[in-house]
Amino acid sequence: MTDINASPNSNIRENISRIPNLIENVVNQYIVRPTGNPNIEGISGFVFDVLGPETVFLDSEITDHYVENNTTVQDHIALKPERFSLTGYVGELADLLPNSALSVLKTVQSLSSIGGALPTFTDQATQIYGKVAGELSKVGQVINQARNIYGIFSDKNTASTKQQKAYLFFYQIWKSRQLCDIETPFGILKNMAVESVQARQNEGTNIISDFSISFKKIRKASTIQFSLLPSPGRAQNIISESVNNGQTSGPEVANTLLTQTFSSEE
Amino acid sequence: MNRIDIITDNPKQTMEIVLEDGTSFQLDIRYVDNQSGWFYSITYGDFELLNRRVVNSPNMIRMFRTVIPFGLSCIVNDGQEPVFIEDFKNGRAKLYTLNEEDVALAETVVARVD
Repeated sequence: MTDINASPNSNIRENISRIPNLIENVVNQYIVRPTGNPNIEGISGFVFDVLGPETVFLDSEITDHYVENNTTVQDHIALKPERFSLTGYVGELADLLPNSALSVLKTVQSLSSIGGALPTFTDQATQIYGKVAGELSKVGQVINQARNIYGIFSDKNTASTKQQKAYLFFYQIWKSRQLCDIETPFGILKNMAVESVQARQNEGTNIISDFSISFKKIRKASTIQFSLLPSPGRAQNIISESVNNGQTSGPEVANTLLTQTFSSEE
Repeated sequence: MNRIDIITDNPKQTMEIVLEDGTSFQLDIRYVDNQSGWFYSITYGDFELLNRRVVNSPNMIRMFRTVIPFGLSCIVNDGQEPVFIEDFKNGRAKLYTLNEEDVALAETVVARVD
């Protein structure tokens, strides 16, 4: 039997062993499951059947200060939090694209093998294949440990229709003030809170609802500690140390100064 | 009546003032920018007087004249108040300690009884 630990096969084996750790590290950095198609993450795991327009708003408040010559100067720019809005449709029946890879896999798994036609592999190749298969199962276990927000909230509802489930999901993240990570066409937005939700079912159907949702980024204040030293001006006087001027009885002065000074107003 | 001549323009100062009878009191003065004024504190034995404003007066502590045997006078050249941090350094304002005779004299200035 060939030793697969020997070089260069040992490198292959080491690399294979690292894959579960790599996947685990990546998974634990996301709230949303990082796997799947580009649209599969959606809003903390929730994905509309049909996506409508998605809009990101980046606004700033620029002040106008009027000066003497009847023009304005703009010397303050306050950045408002990022906002994001989207519209999506939820239907009871959704015509989604087939997962071609999955169908091929199912087809292959359903085929029975013909002994005489099976390819033959060396012992070395068989061992590496076995190693890959073993690590692959570990990767699958790690990925399945990652839960997304949608999974957590969807466990809590008993709705019977997809529209109700979608509504309850948004209702719950709105009511619980849940912060969401949102996948947009322009990038991932983190710490987004629901600003408004509009669930609407038009009069022509009862199997499709459209949802308009807007999110606003949550920015939190943080404390900063800093030293007052050195401080200019008044602050310097307040925090300065007291100076000891020593002991004195002072030069004697004629007390007629009192009467001269304070009686002179008469 | 003795002039306290060791006050500088430092915003916080402490000093020991020796009286005629050999006793002494501690005088702490500080300048507060926001108030545009000087404030003083006196410690004489068990007697403690804290954070009173320095004002142009023949005896700023006349209400304690039966409690302590001395007085404290502030005289500003222009008759106004000590409002600048340099006032005692440049001589615009001056502080004086008063003995019991001076305190009595100050009373005649403050309140005239016919």
